[in-house]
Formats: sequence, structure tokens, C-alpha cells
Amino acid sequence: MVNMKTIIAAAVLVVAGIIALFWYFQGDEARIKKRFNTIAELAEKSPDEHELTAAVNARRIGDMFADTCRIEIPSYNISRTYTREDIPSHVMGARYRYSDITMKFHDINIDFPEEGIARVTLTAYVEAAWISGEAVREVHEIVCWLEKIEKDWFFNQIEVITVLER
Amino acid sequence: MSRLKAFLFPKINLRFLIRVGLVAAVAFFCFTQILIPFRVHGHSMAPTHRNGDFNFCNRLYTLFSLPSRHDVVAIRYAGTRVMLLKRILALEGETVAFRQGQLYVDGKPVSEPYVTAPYDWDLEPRTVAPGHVYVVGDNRRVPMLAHDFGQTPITRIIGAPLW
Repeated sequence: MVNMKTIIAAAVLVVAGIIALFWYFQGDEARIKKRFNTIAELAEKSPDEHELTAAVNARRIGDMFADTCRIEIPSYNISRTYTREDIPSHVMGARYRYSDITMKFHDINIDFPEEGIARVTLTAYVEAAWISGEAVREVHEIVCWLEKIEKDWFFNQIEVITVLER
Repeated sequence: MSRLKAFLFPKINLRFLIRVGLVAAVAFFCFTQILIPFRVHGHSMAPTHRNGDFNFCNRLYTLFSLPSRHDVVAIRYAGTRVMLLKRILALEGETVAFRQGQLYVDGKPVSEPYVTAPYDWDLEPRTVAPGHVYVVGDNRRVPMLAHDFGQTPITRIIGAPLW
């Protein structure tokens, strides 16, 4: 005779199995979106952040980049190729100027122009406070190219699109 | 009375469910494709559109009219979740400049009644590229370097505020 406890245990197992399968076989699109969510979390900063946490976060951001990554930001006259080892120090340097940072990515559109390559367009929305306390808000359209190495996706090109050109 | 009762407490039958489904579908289409609700963040368009104001982005604007000078338009980034709200000051092929807080288009001064405070911007003349418009916010009290403005492709205009 099957009792209620057995039915509940079986239902829990089935649900856990479905979640595990979904987790294991999540599509490339979901993996890429997760990458961006992780970057947004790691880029955020609170005034009481410990330096060690900042260093670990910067290192984790650096780990998401390919061996080399081309970064183009025309409005700041930046156009150069960085190595993966360069990234954490630049992230640390950029975050150091702010006491508070929140970052969100919106309208993430992902195409796969060829096998193992993803082109992602998105809007990055950043609110921050300088060390001096002055608030700053930046919004940019960004195009990223990622390459798949084994099962993970790594940034190999980032371009900030100029929406308004003086 | 029975009609009011039937309106307030309808019988949940197939016809009712179809009606609810249709209303939901029409509302979803309307508020994601035609009238996109948005809230103003920032002071770039003050005093016309103030920080915190609520409005709708009317996407029919791009279907039934060509962008013209003094229109306030919504400009997209990668999508419609975050948009820029700016005013068109010059059209393709026109030359735009500011001299001591006065707008000049093709060398002639242009009146801007929506700019309520004096300002002192100076911008060398520049010609708007084909297929572009030149947009600026109404709040000129901020220093020119701190204000986002410039030319943008017409294809980035996705609508205009409803009011």
C-alpha cells in the first residue's frame, strides 16, 4: 500500500531531478545570460566593501575573459587589446574611484553567427557614487563577442556603441 | 440590478474566459508594442519632463509622422527597457550651433520657448549627417560637457511621449 509520505518523497525527487537536468543541460543562451548576471553582481560595490573582496571579484571578472580581448570605447578614445591578466587590475582601478556601484544589464539579445561564437547586444545601466559623494549615472549600448571554450563562454571583444555623437 | 450583479459577479464559463483572454492579449500587445509605459530618471528634459514623471512612449509617432524640429522623442539603446528622452533641434543636412546660449540652425537663431532658464553654451557649427537628427535636452542649466546630446540615426527613434 502506497502511503502519502511515499508519494510526497517521489514528487520531491522528480522535481529535484527535473531541476538538476535543467541545470545540467541549460542552453548556451541561458549560460551567457548567467555570465552577464554574474558580472553585474561582481561589479557592484558597497561603501563598506573589504579590499580582499574587491580583489577576488576583480579576479573572477578577469576569469570570464578569453586570453585576449579587444575593448573599444570611442567616447573615451579607448581602442586596444587587453590580456586576461590585464583585466583584474583595470577593474580594480575603475572600481577604486567609486564608493558605491550598482550595475544592471537590460535588453540582452543573443545571436550565434557561427558555431562557438556569440554576439550579444545589451544596455548597461550603471549608477555609482564617486568617493567625493557625487552621484553619477551612465547608460551605454554595448556589443560583446564571446567565444565558447569547452562548455564556458569567454569575452573576446567588447564595443561601446555611440548613440549620441556631438 | 441583475445586470449589475451579472457584470460584477459573472458566471465563469467558456465565453467569459475567452473574453478575459482577449482583453489580456490586447492589453499586453498595446502596452508592450504601442504605448510603452516609462518613468523619467534624471533632469535632462526638465522642466518639460521632470525626474520621476510617468508617461507612455507612443510608438505610432514613427509610423504616422516624420521627425520634425522641436519634437520630443524617445531614443532606444539596445531595446526599449532604457530610452533617452530628447528634443530634436536639427534635421539631416542642417547645421547646428550654440552661441552664448542661443541655438542657431543654418546660421539663423531659433527660438526655444521650452528652455526657461538662461544658459551659456557655445558649440561650433556642425552638419547633421544624412539619416540622422540632432537632439538635445531642454535643461541647459547643466554645463554643456555634462549633458548628453548629439546626432543620432533616425532609426533609433522609437516613439514620442504621449503628453
